[in-house]
Amino acid sequence: MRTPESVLREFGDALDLPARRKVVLLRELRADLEGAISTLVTRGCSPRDAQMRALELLAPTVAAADSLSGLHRPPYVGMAHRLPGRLVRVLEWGSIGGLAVVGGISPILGLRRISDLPPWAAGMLGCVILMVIGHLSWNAFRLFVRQDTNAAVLARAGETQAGLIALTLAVGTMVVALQAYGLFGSWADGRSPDPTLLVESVLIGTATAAVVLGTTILGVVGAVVLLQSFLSIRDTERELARLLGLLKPSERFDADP
Amino acid sequence: MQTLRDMGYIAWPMLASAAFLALQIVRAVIEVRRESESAGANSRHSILVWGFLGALLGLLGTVVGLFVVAISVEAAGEVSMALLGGGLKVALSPTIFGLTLLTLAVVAWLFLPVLGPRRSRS
Repeated sequence: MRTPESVLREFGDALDLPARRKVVLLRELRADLEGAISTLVTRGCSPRDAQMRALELLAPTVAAADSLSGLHRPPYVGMAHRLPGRLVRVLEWGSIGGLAVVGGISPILGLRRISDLPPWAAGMLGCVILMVIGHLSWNAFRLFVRQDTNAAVLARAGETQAGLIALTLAVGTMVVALQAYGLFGSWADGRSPDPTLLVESVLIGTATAAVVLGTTILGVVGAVVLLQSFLSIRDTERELARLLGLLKPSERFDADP
Repeated sequence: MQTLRDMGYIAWPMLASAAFLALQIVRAVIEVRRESESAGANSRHSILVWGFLGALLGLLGTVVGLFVVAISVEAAGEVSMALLGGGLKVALSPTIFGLTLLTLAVVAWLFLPVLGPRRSRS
């Protein structure tokens, strides 16, 4: 015999939508079913008959699920469905590479002083900035454009983001400290502290610190977005599981004591 | 070696931190290669702890070093720029050493998962 839970589960499986949109539709269907059952019961039907009739009247077909999926599918996901797989992959990697290059190179070009750093220092800093921006761009694309959300993947991405923030701060501070080390070393070697050289070093150090702090702020913003998305998606998946009756009775919020 | 000797007493805890960090990296690599995911995760996170400890010890060394430089300048009354530069240079070295440890730790922490269990999942 069909039950409201089994109908909701079938309908949920048939819907080809992101979890959040699926939850909205399933919640509506469950409210409709519950409303119909209670109306039929108040009109004198037995609960068993009321459930059967409500399911006959309201249980959606696979065709209805398909058309609802088409109607509620986010525009970008719909576009990705229509494009051939290889083209989507090229677009994905092109966007990621483009964003990473533009985002990573622009602070270095914008703050011209950074180019006065020794090549190894500029290279290290550039690599870290590229890693932060590349990681952020990839996750932003996955999260907002493809709507490809998975709580475990997002948790891992947040962890990596935190590691990249630590790396940015470590490498940035080390570059500034090494600049100062070189300057003080030249004083210790007996070279007179030339004020022009001192000001130049301070300018390069400040510009480096500004870029490092900018990248760190960007990283922190990304980490916050990832954390928020993770929490929201975890709650959504939990609600989806509750709606589909997949949670153990002890895990259900509305469980009877 | 000279730089390490110049760092003074703070060099010993920092060297211990570096040794534990190296040990933890080797342990995590072995565990990750054996594909024991939960044990690998614990070792992996302890790499970060040792890296941060190294960086904090480095910063502490620099702060103490600057304090010593300031006290010496105050006691001497007037010092040459070469002497001051030498003091400041030595005071900065623990920070550089500590941040190098942290950078190595974070890089190892970020790239260790690439070595291990993900292959079996695909």
